[in-house]
Amino acid sequence: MTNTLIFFLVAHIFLGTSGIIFLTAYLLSIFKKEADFKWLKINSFLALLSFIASWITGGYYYTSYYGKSVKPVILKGEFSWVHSILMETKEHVFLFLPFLTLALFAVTYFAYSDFAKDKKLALSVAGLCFTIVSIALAIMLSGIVISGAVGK
Amino acid sequence: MDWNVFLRELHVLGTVLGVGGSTFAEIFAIKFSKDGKIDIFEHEVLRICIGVLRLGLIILTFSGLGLLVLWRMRLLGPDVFYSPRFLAKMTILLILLLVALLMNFRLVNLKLGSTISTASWYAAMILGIWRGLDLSYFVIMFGFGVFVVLVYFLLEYARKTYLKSK
Repeated sequence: MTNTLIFFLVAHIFLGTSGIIFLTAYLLSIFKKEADFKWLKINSFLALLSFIASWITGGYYYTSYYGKSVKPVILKGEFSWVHSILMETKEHVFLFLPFLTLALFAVTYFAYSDFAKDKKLALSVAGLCFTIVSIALAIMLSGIVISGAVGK
Repeated sequence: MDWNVFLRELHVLGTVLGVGGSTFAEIFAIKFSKDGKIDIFEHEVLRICIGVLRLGLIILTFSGLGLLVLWRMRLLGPDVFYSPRFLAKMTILLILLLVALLMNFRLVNLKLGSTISTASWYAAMILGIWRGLDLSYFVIMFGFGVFVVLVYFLLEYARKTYLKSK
């Protein structure tokens, strides 16, 4: 693996995890008595940027290295289901993340003033954020399991 | 210093902050429960402990992922990634995150939540240190469950003993 590919792989992991952390921070602060809406906006925006950047770096790694060099090794090995189930799921579900996060950012940006008054809206936004965090965590865990399928 | 040493040191730092933060949060929570209410100063102390704990979790996560990248480069594969000890550590980390969210939304009793959180930090540390552990995933997780119960009763005992002494 070249240094460029290592950089893209590390960036993909780092950015994806950062996105999860920003959204977890969002989730932990949305129902605070004195919720700081500036931070809700910043966290959702940074999460959006992180997921888009993770999308691009992961996409580059996948198309230029994984498909040619990693996938055949996994498919030949004992854990071929790791690619056929986990990677196939990951690469499709992964597409949702930036759009769901964009929706979260848009709601936070345009309707944040209603959060304190409308508990139902705040609860729905928290539900959306929890869904994104859960999907992102599942994708991260899938990535770890996929990495583990490549042995000597 | 190579990447492996650097990431391992960060991983240890994250664990130290997490275990230390959760331990002191428990100690202060017991101490502050004496009069049955939390004043502004006590709230600030607990907030700092939780902040340290969260910083530890972030350092632990990033350094752990860095170590996984190194393992991936060395093609260590299923022997390491699918080992019961590693899978148990990942599960406990997820439990830690889930409990933090549940506690934040008051969906779990605070005493129980903080017990699971403290037990999880110690269990993750013990699993990290105990390299020769040769047990199945389910046995380790069963042991974790027993450990949580033990920590719960230990903290209850400490709480009652402290309140009686005052």
